[in-house]
Amino acid sequence: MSELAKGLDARAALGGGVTMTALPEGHVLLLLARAGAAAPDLPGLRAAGPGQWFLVGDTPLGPDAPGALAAKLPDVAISDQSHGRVRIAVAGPKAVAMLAKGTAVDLERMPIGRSVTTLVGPLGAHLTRTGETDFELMVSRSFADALWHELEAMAAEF
Amino acid sequence: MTSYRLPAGGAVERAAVLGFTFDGKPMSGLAGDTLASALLANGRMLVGRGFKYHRPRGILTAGSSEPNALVTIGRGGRTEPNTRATTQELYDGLEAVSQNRWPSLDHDIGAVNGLLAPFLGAGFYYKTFMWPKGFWEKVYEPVIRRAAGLGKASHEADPDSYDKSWAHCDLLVIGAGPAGLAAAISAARNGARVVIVDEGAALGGSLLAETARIGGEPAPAFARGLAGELAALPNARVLTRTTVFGWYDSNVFGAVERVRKHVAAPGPRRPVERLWRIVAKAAIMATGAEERPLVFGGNDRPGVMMAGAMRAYLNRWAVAPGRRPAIFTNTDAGYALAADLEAAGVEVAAIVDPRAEHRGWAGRARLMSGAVVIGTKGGKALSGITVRTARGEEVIAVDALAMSGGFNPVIALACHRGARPVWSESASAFLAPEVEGMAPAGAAAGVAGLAECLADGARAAARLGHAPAAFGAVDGAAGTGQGAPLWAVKEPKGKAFVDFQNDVGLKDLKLAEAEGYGHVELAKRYTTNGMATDQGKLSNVNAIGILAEARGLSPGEVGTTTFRPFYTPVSFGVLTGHHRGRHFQPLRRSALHGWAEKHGARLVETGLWLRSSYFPRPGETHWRQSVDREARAVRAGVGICDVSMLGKIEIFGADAAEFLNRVYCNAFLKLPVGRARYGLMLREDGCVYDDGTTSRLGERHFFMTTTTALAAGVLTHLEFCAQALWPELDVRLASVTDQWAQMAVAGPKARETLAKIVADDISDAAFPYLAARDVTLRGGLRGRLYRISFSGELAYEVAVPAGFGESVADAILEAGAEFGITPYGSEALGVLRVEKGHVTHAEINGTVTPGDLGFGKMVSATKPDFIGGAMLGREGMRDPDRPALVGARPIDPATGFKAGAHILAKGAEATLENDQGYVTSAVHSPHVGSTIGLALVKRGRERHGEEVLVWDAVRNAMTPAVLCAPCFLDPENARLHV
Repeated sequence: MSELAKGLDARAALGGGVTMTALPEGHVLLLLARAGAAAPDLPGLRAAGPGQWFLVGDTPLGPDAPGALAAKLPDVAISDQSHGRVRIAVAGPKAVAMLAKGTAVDLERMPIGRSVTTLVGPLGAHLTRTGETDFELMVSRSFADALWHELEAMAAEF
Repeated sequence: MTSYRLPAGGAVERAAVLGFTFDGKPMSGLAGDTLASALLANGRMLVGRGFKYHRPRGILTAGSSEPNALVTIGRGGRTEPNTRATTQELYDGLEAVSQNRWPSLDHDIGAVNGLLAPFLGAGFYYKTFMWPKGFWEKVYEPVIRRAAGLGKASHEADPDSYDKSWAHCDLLVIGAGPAGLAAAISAARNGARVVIVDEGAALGGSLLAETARIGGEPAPAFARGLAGELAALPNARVLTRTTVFGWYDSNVFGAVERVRKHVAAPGPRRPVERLWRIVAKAAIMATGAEERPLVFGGNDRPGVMMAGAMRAYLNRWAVAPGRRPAIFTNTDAGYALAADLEAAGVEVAAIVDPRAEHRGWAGRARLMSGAVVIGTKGGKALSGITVRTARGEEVIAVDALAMSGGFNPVIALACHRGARPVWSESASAFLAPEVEGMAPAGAAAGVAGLAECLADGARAAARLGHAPAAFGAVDGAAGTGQGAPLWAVKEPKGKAFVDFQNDVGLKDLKLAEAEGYGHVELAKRYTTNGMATDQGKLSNVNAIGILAEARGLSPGEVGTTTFRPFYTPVSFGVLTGHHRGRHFQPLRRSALHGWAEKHGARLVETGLWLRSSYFPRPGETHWRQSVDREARAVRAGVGICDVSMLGKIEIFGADAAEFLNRVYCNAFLKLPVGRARYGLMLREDGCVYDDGTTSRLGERHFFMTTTTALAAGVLTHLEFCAQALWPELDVRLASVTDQWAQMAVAGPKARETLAKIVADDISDAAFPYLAARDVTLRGGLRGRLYRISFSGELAYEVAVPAGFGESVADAILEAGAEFGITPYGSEALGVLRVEKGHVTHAEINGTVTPGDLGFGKMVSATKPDFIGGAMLGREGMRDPDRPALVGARPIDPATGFKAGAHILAKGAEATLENDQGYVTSAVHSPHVGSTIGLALVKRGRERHGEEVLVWDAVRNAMTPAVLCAPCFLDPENARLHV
């Protein structure tokens, strides 16, 4: 098993400036509307591209949940990615400096609540600012170990 | 006499003595020294040997343009060759070693090259080593390379770590001299997000070596004040020891920060260097100007130095160049140096100025107007100069000589994206082209004078909307006058060097012009002027001037060569960052990675994925024993294989079926819900791109699998089709490769095994071949089941959400235990598919059509259009001589062949003309009992049964073989339909 899956609540404190936490395997639903469609009226949606949003939460959903949600949302297809994505929280006063090592996104000017799809080093990832010094990264499950190593290397000097 | 440290002055810390060695000899310097200033303080004038003639060379500059003082620093994995002593900060314990000399710097045998100088002129490679032909590679080049070289890299691994980071700003200021500081402080005080970058350890640039006062304050203190203010502002980021090496698209700048290169070891967890990518809304190029050397005989002798450098060593590092220096200057900068030298108590032997008119010099030194230095005297150190005046020649005893020919604005960055410099007759310099996103300021913009540069920096900020900062009056600044360019002294005595690092002389350039290589780009290659690691920072403009004079053109008409990144050399380490060794590229782990490891899989890297290759059992000593056993187990009973790494794409939308119908060459419009179909995807050129199965899970919902290799490529292709080709179709795509743990369960006992796992009825009637739908597993878990087969056996692929993969795989193992279920890896998978003639990217090699692979009948003749359809009708795509997929096996089963071997007609010689095709895949088949292979062979379909030769040039093997249908087992596919 990957280091991540061995202990999903494992907390790695790196120096004093940054904390990395593997978040619980809750739910990640990808909502697919037509490009240009307005976002469905749901709290906490994270933009994932034109007409695409992630609905993310800490609680696992049953297998019928995506279908039930799709039935309520006209013209939105739902792809369940709950097992396909791994979420890692990065927090601390050095979080911006650390993440700037991996992503070209202007983190200093990124509003809280904003999401972007970006590269962290060589890895594609979905990044959300969840607080002043709090970020969440979402990555394909097969790359989770690689991202964890990437983040460790980025955080080494803090 | 030699250089020495003055008893007082400078910005060095007298109490902090640092020990270092040069060529093993212990020396000492002071905190604040560079290696160059410390060497000079120790009287070490000779620090290197010329590239070609091995002439003794000394320190020429005090900055990053240094062509001579290149040394090797450090030892073991930290060995750093070609380090410029002029930019390397001194630290305690530093070990520096000179380069390009043998056996020692003082006694260098290579110096005999100097005697051969008449034969080593421009183009000597081309002229001398023409004959005999084979000698170039074997004899001439290795000898020349050994004699003419730079430092040697270490073969040991670099123990240090390297870092990368992005930065964003409203304004990037490159260079922190007077103009840069003025620009940065103006913008920063206005609240702009500013990044200011400088090569040096402290901000200040030329101010740090300046004796003028600004607002009554000494220039270095003025610079420290502004640096402190910038460091304290939260909206300003100060990057010292950082070189901006390139300007790229979207106003992104590349820079290297030498984070810990000024200490012996970086310390734990600290990177030694950091690569910055700086995204700037605007940039100010305050990169200053490079002083131009003067070209005269013996201008390379140790003791000859740029005037600005000599002034910096004197004022900043309290190092005097000698007891009796002279100054050869075509600019007023030489007079500022003379004044500072005299103020420090150093006797200046003479000021030699080619300008006829007297410059109003009030110091003690003898001023020789209308005069030029034509030659120098001395061996490894300068002992005298020959001056030519209107009255004749005069030899003056000196131990150092400063030279100042004019100033070249440092404009490389502005030219990195293709714009060309512009010659200014009035400034006698190439100026930066007008570019978007970056503007030059100060000396980099051709502005002369300290007060003028401060004002110009503030003005540059004002043009970007920031109120310009104001500064106190400048008092005691150097004059700004300069004479008409003196590209080279007429009739010099001895070799006059233009490019010091590559040993290119005045004669070489004249020869290039005379022999027809006068074009600036040709002259560069013919003479190698400007091609050294310093990229001609000091030499290029002089070379252009010399060519211009020789050709009777202006320098602007001659033009420059092309400026490209990097401005100064950049280490491979910092470009690599921490992506090296095990982390060179990311590894992808399958959802069943842990399961495979638990069952003893040997893993193999395929692309980024780690895949199970085979699962050895105790007693098996050779991988093929394991693979044969696994393949047999599948055909006899049941096996389980991780296929999670196949690309998986969900396709939604009202037009999903129409979309697939256009993307695949075979029909998909009428695929019923609950069924899977093999699909063949072509490129626009009609060649096969990828294959896989696609299942219809709902009217508007499909699930596509791709090959592992092209998972990302296919998704990109589909997105392009959906977004760019047919935006009118309602199609939405999502990669779900990582969502599902997917395992193939194959073999005659597959159904009996899975019946214990799957709650739904999976009898042949209820779940026939190519059925595909959601199922519920016993225990309630939802998954998907596909009855598809790559092995040719009764087979299913079971998919469950990735997190459940391991436990479901183990449950299947338990369920199949009574049938001898066997985990199998990619090797056995390969054996099984070759036995059935199923293709992979070994066969889909980018040049084959569906017809070549035997899929010609699959291509729809009735669809209105599909990608690749138009081109399939081309003559060449229908040529009967095209290769066709066939099987091949050795006539003697005890022999074999490998993939890549070529097919020859029986009795034919191994020539290109006789080539009939090649073996794409070869495996040992335990069922056939020999090697079997697939091959693409010319007119292959007509040649089943033909005896051929399989020729393996790599292993020098010639194997008689017979061609056959590309299927070695169950050609009627009876085993699929049980």
